[in-house]
Amino acid sequence: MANPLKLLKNGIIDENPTFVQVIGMCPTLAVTSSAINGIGMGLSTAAVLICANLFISLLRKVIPDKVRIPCFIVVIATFVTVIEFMLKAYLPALNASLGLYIPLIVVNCLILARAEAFASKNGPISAIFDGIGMGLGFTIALGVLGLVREFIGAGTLFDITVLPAAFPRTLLFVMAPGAFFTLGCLMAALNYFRNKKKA
Amino acid sequence: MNANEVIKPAVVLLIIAGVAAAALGAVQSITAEPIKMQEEQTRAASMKAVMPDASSFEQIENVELSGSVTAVYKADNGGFVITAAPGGFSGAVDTMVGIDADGIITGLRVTKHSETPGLGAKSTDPSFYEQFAGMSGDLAVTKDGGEVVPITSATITSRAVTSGANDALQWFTANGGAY
Repeated sequence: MANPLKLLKNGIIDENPTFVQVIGMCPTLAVTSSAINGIGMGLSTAAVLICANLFISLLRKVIPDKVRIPCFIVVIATFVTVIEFMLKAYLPALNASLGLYIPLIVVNCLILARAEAFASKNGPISAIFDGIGMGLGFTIALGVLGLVREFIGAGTLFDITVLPAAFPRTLLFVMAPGAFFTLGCLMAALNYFRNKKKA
Repeated sequence: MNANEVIKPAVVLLIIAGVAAAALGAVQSITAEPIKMQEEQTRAASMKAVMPDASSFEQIENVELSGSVTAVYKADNGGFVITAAPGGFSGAVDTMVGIDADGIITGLRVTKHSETPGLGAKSTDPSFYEQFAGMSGDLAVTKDGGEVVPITSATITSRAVTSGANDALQWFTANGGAY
């Protein structure tokens, strides 16, 4: 079994799903118009990812190679639907802002990618830690994106106004183009520091 | 290729799908009640918000719907709560309007929309929807010669909400006396 700490670091930094692997872009760009939405989406995805990783790892010897993709999708879709029901029943406020995107988790290639690349080849404990690491990496990335966009676009952080009213808001940043700008700048900055460290 | 190679994967997939379906059924039946309660609470809360003086609301069945009106509720104080779904900038803007027995708007809320965040989405801000309370007759945004102050850079959304309120008022004028 791989070192759990290493798996966590791998997910959060070395192979960060958003900034390094650049997968799961649809929810990343669509929901990060505010920090709360980004973190909410990240945590819901992480929850599905951890459960799906665990189950697929447990079933990895049972699932025949030929039908592994449909099996993964069934497992993932089941967890997503369960989470959707739970949010609707017990966290209606979060559901109101994320509701539209929850079904998108099913097609988030991050979850399928981890099932295929990691969970189907490793034991359940490693798979859980991989899920936690990747889930946290995704949550942090979405949270940071949301923070930056909310700050520049609406002058607020976690819905609390921080910029004086006279300071102009760049509305573009809470719209779709702002997501691309922010993602590009953050990726460039991360790569810069990474390369500097290597050199 | 022998038969086993085909049957085994199919059986495994069938079992996994079956277990998943059973699990979903169980969760659905557990959460059905709380979900229904949440939805009713949300609806009751917005009805109370658009018509603070009433304490109970009853949906009028088989009502004739006009314009963008989607449902009509009769309040116990003689007023109506009318929901409308006028077309906004990106899809329907679900609007709930409370109208008292004299045809004056008691309150208005945008309950569901998919307008641009930061622009049209501001239609859920009190600074926008509160101005509708006390209005009556034929409404229009200031740009069109009316008195509804639109949201900056979101005239289409503002017009949509205004037309939803208008449709509700017109329904009241045409049918309000009959109920």
